[in-house]
Amino acid sequence: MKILVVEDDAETAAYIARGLREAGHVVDHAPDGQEGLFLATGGAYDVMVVDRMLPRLDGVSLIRALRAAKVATPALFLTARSGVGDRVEGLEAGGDDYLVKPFAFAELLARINALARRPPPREETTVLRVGDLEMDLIRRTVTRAGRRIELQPREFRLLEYLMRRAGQVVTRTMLLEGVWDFHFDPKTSVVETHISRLRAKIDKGFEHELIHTVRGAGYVIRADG
Amino acid sequence: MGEPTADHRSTGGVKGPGEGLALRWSFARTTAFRVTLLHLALTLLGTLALSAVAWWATAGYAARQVAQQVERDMGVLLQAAALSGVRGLALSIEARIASDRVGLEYYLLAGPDGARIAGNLAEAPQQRGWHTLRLRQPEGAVVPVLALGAPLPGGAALVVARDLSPVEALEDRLLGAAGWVGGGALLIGLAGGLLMGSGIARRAAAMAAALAAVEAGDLGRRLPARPAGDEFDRLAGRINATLDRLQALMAALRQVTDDIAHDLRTPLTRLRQRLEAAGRAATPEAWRAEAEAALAECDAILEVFAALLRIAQAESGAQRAAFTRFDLSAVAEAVAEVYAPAAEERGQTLTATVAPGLAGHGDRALMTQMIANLVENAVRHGRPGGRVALALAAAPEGGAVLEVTDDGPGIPPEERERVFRRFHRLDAARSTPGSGLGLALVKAVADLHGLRIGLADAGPGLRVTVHFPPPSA
Repeated sequence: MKILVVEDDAETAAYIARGLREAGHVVDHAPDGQEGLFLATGGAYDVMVVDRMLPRLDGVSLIRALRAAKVATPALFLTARSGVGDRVEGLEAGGDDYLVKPFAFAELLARINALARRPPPREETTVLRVGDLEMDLIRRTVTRAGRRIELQPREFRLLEYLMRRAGQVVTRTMLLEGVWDFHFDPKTSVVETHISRLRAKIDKGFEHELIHTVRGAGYVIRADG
Repeated sequence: MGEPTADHRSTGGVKGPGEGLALRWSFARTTAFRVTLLHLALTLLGTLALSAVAWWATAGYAARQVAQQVERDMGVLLQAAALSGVRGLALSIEARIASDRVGLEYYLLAGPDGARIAGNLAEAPQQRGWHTLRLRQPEGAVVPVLALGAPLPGGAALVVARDLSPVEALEDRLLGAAGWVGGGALLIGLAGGLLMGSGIARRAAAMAAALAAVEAGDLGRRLPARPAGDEFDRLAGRINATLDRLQALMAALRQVTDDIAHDLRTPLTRLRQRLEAAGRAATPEAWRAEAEAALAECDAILEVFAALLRIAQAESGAQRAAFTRFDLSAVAEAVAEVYAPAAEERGQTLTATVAPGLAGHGDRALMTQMIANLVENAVRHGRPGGRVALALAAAPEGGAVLEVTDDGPGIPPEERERVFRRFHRLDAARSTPGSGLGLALVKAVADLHGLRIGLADAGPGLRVTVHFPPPSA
């Protein structure tokens, strides 16, 4: 993927760029908002990572300008402030996701992947499939290898979130925000317990596990290995 | 010449023109100066009005008396003329002059040619209407008189006049008295104004001095204020109350800063130890393990910061502008759903009894975290294998009531107020993980939204009740 990083702090920018390159992406870096706007309108990027506070043109104004110019490149805001109002403002300006500094690199990578592979608006799928696992969104049923699996509503929603992002790493905070609209980190390991309950129903007794834990990052549902 | 002289005075002297002007202007702007001026003006105005009334009642009265006498005399004499002709009139005039011992009355009867027929007036400047004349006496004195002229049939004319000297003497005395009274009033007005003005200035200066001391760091200093005093005392009392609140806030802030420094010292020490251990690690595996443990410590510290920032955010009240109406029932259900597996993990049953369709008003994210913290607390401190209950119902008086109940050790009544403080942890809870910030956030969010929180004994266990006011549409 081709990724644009707009970040004024050289060390943070280098850290992000190095990580993304190690993950096999092509990275361009802009040290301020105007340079970022110039690059973003010119090059065809798959994703942009934009710091909220930038010299010469702040991140929110940068994204507003881009959206006004009909550039729809998915954008992820980085910010040192965690206020709920800030998040809403960023998203309303046309940002697609929001990450508070400091962050784990795995979290950033997972969110970038999610943004890049965000399915384009198309006719609604009614059946999700991962390997021999099948989810019928109309009848709210789940089967694996033809065997019916009974799920509670909360387990169904969690599995749906994972299956819609099959093959992508999904982090704990992405699950908290996406499934339950929780914009804070509970101290109890609630996500782990939800996943382990889901695993007990989906994977227990089958030869291949579908839900995998990615160390230090999160979870991924995929058919192979 | 008056103008240039005044100009010279204002621009001359040691001070520069601008400086002198500024000084005079800054004094002219003081309340003391304005009070002095106002008091002076009012005193003078009062004296002037009083003098005018006195004038009208005395000198004015005397002048009117003289005019009436002149009019009466004229009437009598005209009647005499009508009865006995010009000759008779001349006789009565002579008789009147002869009987006037004091010499205050003046008459003139002039023929059609203007020549004097009778009377003691040398000439008649005008023969009709009222006049004030100044008669030059043979001795050289000048006598003011009030004269009334009237034509007689046949072309003759009659002038009746009275000496105004007694009236003018009275007026002179009155003017003199008014001068003394006016001067006195000026002095009294100035003195009274200065007294009042300087009183105000002195009290304002005392207040300013006390505030300057507070500004300089003496936070305990208060403004002088007498109990049940005037508006200055009431103002000082209000400022003192504000200063009290400020001092309390500063103390609270210092407490929080101390708490943070103290509570972060432990995890930072552990982080340091982990990093040192990583530096000494013999194998890559050991190094990795220490690095991961260090990361976990880092996350714990960041979590404390995030919680503190959220509390500060809620306490600042800045969120109020972004309050919205939201589905409180849905939030309560989501929280119950999130924590259900975690409770089951501890062998607890988490039951949620949520009345549908109850609305909340406020910051949805903060409210979610508040309810989550309460449930998390109940799950963590509840008895393993016990019950945790979350209930949301419509309140009889409007709004909603949330109840979170556990069957753990509960909180002793004497501790109930303190658990809402930052970093406060019951001794029994010291061994369990937790930052001691969960309930502090609950309190901050509740205060932000005007919610009432109650802690009660669930026998055994703790019941936390939160009263939501009806959302204002």
